[in-house]
Amino acid sequence: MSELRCPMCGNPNLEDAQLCRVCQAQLKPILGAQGSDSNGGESNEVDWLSGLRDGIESQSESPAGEGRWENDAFEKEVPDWLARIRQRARMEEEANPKDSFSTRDDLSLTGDENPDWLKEIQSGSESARREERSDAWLDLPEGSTDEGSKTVAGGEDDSSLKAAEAPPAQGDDIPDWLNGGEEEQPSDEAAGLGEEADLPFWLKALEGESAQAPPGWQPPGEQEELPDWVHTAEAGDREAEETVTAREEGEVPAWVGAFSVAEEETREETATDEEVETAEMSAFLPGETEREERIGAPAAFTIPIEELASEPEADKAPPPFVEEPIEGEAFVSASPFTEGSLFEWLDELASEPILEKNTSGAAPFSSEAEQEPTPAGEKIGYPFSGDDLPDWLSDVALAETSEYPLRGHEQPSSTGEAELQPSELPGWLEAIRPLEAVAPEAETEGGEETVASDGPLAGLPGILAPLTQAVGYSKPPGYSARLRLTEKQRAHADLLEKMLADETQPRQARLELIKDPQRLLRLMVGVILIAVLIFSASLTVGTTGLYAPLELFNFNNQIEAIPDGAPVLLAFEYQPGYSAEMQRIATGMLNRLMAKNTRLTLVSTVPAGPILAEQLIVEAAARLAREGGTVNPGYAAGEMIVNLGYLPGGIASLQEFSLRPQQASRYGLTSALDGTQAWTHPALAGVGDLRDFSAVVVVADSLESGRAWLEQVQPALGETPLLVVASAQAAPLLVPYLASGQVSGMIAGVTSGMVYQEISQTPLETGFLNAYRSGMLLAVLLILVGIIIHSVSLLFAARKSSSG
Amino acid sequence: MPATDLFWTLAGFILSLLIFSYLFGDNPLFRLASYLFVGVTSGYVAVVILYQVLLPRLVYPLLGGEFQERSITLVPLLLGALLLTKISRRFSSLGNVPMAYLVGVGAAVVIGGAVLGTILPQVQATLDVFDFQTGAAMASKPVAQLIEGSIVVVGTVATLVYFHFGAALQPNRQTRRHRLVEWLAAIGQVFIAITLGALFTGVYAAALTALIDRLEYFAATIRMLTTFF
Amino acid sequence: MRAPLAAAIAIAVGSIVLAGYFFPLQLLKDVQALLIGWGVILTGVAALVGIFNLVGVHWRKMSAPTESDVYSPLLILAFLVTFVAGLILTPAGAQFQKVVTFIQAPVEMSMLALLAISLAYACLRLLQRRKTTLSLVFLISALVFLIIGSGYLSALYQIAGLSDLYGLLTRLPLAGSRGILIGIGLGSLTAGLRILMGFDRPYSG
Repeated sequence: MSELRCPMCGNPNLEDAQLCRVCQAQLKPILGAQGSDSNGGESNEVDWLSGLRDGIESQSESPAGEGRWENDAFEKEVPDWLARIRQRARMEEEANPKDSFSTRDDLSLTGDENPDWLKEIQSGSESARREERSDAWLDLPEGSTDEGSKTVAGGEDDSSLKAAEAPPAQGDDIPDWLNGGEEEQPSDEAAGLGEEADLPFWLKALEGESAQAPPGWQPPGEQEELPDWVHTAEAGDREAEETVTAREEGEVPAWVGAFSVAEEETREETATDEEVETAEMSAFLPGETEREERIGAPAAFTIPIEELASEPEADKAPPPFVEEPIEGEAFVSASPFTEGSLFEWLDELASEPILEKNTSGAAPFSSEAEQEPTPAGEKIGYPFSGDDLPDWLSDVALAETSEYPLRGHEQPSSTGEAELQPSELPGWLEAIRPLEAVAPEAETEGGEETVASDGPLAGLPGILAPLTQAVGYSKPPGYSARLRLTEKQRAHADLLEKMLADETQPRQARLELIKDPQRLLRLMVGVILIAVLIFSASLTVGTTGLYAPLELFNFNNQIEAIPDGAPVLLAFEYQPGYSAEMQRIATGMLNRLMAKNTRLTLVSTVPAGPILAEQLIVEAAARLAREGGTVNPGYAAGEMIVNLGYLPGGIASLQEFSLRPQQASRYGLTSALDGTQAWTHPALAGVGDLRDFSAVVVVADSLESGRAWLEQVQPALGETPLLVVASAQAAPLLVPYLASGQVSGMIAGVTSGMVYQEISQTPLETGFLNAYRSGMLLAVLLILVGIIIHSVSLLFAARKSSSG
Repeated sequence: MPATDLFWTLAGFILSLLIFSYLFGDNPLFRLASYLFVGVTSGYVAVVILYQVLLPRLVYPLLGGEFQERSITLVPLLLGALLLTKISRRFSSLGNVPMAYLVGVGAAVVIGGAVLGTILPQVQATLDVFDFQTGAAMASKPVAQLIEGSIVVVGTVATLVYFHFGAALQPNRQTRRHRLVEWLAAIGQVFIAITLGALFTGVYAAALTALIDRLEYFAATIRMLTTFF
Repeated sequence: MRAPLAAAIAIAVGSIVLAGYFFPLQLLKDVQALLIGWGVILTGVAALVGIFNLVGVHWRKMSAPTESDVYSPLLILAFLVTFVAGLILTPAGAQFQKVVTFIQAPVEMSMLALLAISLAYACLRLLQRRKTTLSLVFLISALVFLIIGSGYLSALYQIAGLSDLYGLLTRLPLAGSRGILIGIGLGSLTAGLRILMGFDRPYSG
């Protein structure tokens, strides 16, 4: 059985082993076991970072000078290589405690000057929470993983171009040795942006999520509180595209580029929403732009790097390779991980033996290279040389089978020409690729190999769980504040808007010219109708033989059954427009009631009803006088008629009126001001309830008004008959109540009214009746004419079509 | 004729003429009369409500009522005050409570009236057609009454079925009413058309009466004005 | 839940009022009458609110900087004059009652008279619009009832054998009317129950 060497520690393992038995490193590409062990891989891979973070956090928690790095629980989780780093740091700390303290002072000072959110991060006490955070910041943002993997494997993506937009980290809060770049600062923090679920809240905000800051978190609202590299972020972003070709591949870790790509793509897709997002950002971080937030937030991630760098430099000033301002186009391009960046030197450390063979210049790890300013475009010296190199890195460098590939620094640009394709790696680099030697090639979902592109694990395929885990995630959707409408919806909305606008704007009424044949025809019909009515009204021909329906006889019988002087309730439920018809229908009834000296109580649920009622009585008397009849001369209207007035509330008031009529209409039309209660009127003597009326007559012009009385009042009437005097338009729909016995009798329309007048021996308005019948007959003729015209037109059309 | 009567007569006459100008199409005169009519009617209704509703049912009990009556009247007073906030957009939400009160009362009244005043009596009347103990069946021509009653029952049921729009999903994914329902709906359509024809006639008759009255009014007013001047 | 307090009030009040219809308890009847009485007062207030809103709308239209409505001042003027006159004269005043008899009634009757002309014109074109079975039955029905309404065929009623047919024709709309009435009742019942159950809340706007 062949053995498999660990890419981390070089120890041999069984061929089918997944993890190194010594350092627990991932032996095989994680993509191959993605489906089953993605989470576990993630936890393993981020341990070194989480440990560093936790170390910082525990250090910030401890009082100054105490500065303990040890955390037993944490120690057990960290891999060996990191343990060696920490062990070495511990040794150096013991050797030079002052510097160690100064480093911690820097840290504490940083903590003081850091925004509150950073303090909050640093003051996290629960280890689980710390691990989660460390996991989170290592994770890539959603949507960036694909880009990152493509960048590494395909080399055709423009993520490197976007990676150049990674913000430089620089500021007063950063130790001096990190300020050496002045303009540029690694933005590897951006790479720590994890998946959405694991993202810190401030990173969620970067992605446009409505992240809520924890209570103790204060947004870095003012620029001076932010690191300087935040302020230069935008400039770096803008210049990045211009200078991307000047940078060598590997200047920016792929995951940084991937993050930038994700940011850019999101920004492009939601271009219309950028203002909304900015507004949300403003609420989240007042006074800062989105990018400033994106960069400013992860400032805490400089701390592990800072400490990593400070460990070997504990006894001297910050290394000149970072202290000295690095000039040149590549650095102006604002990528914090340009040449000589912290992650690059880690990778280059891994390839040290090869570099020593192939570089003709100064040794990369020589002290000269560290102290001399690096000219633009040249390789930057390595921070660790000779003995400064950590043991684990030395081991890796010396082990042939564990040499790291430098693919993690391969950053294909959008042009695809300034970058080296994976297949175009230099021969020496191909030769040292450990993946083919130690592990089977893993295939990504897209058939491309996913390779860790940054960090100390760079080059290991599928080693970083966040990469693989994020493959399953889709790009975060860009939510638009604008309502997206289809064309049809837009057309409907426009139509509705136009309709509403037309309604709100008064139309300029103009005298429309009668040029439309239809309008002219309508005018002609009107003229003919009026002429016929006038002519027929002038005739004095008597009317005989009118049909008397059964309900009319019943009505008459009920009226005649009312005792003389009995109280009768009259409800006038019609609008003023129907007063002409109702007057003519009700005249005969009123005549009979007054002839019987009945006491009339008037009420209405129509505001104009009480006045119309009085007018009807007056008009009835006048009409009778005109036609030669007379109203009962002994009828004293003042004492026999009481007007209860208006009942507000429609059917509700009728229900109240049926329940307690005296409370519902306490004051009449004329007694509201003097306070006289209507029910003390002589006309209502002996009446305390609706059942006390001898009859209830409803004069209704519509189905609704009649139905209201039938539904609300009639059930409470008991034996008291309810009679209806209905307009012709309401009669057809009130007939069923007649058939059901709810209505005891009905006069429906003018014709029935005239018949009742004949029955009650009330003089008729012959002129009116003649006009009415002529008008009805004219309508019949018009319908027939219409049928003839239509038939003729159809006939002509049929002939035309047959001849054509 | 008193001057006020002349004024009112002229006002009514002119307004009627302005309305009749609509025969020639929409025009400013017709609009003038319409707006005046709406304004006058609004003012009249406001006055009637003040004198017929608020004064007798709200103000008088509060000012001159007994303690119990005053206490009871405080509730509609409060609700009415809240309802007045509907005028303001800012405070209109305060008026939701009295509006809810109104809607609740109205809904209950509608339900009670519909059940007790229409549905049950009309259903009972429909069934009574076949009750030979009632007067209809005991009429002089029971066969004719029975036929007429059957027509009424079929027409009533068919009309109700016509307004039933429930349908089942057919195997060909089309929704279609049951065949029997379709037949009854077609019959109901005929009865509805007959009823609508009767309603059309009734509306025309009512309008015709108004037209005749207006013609008489014009003639009478002109006669009166000619004699006056 | 939208407008929970308002919904609770609507449901509670409506339930009590509805119970008063079906349970003949005097106490319940009294409470029902009291609640309805309050509702009647509120209806009056609601009408006032509607009127004030109408006037406010026309006031805004009148004072609009652009395209102000020239008729709105007339409406407001008519309202104010009527309102002030009504406050002074009271609805019992004979002169104030002429607002109804000399303005409202003539205007409304004139509008109704115009409807007669429009319907007469519609008679001419009844068949030209739609040529379906429904329209044909409607046309025949209108024709028959117009003839009956004119009274010229009343003589047929006196002819033996035709009186039954005449009576049947006049009662024929009963079937459709009853179906429509029951349908209206069922619709009212459904709408009311939806409100009392809180499904519809037209008051929470």
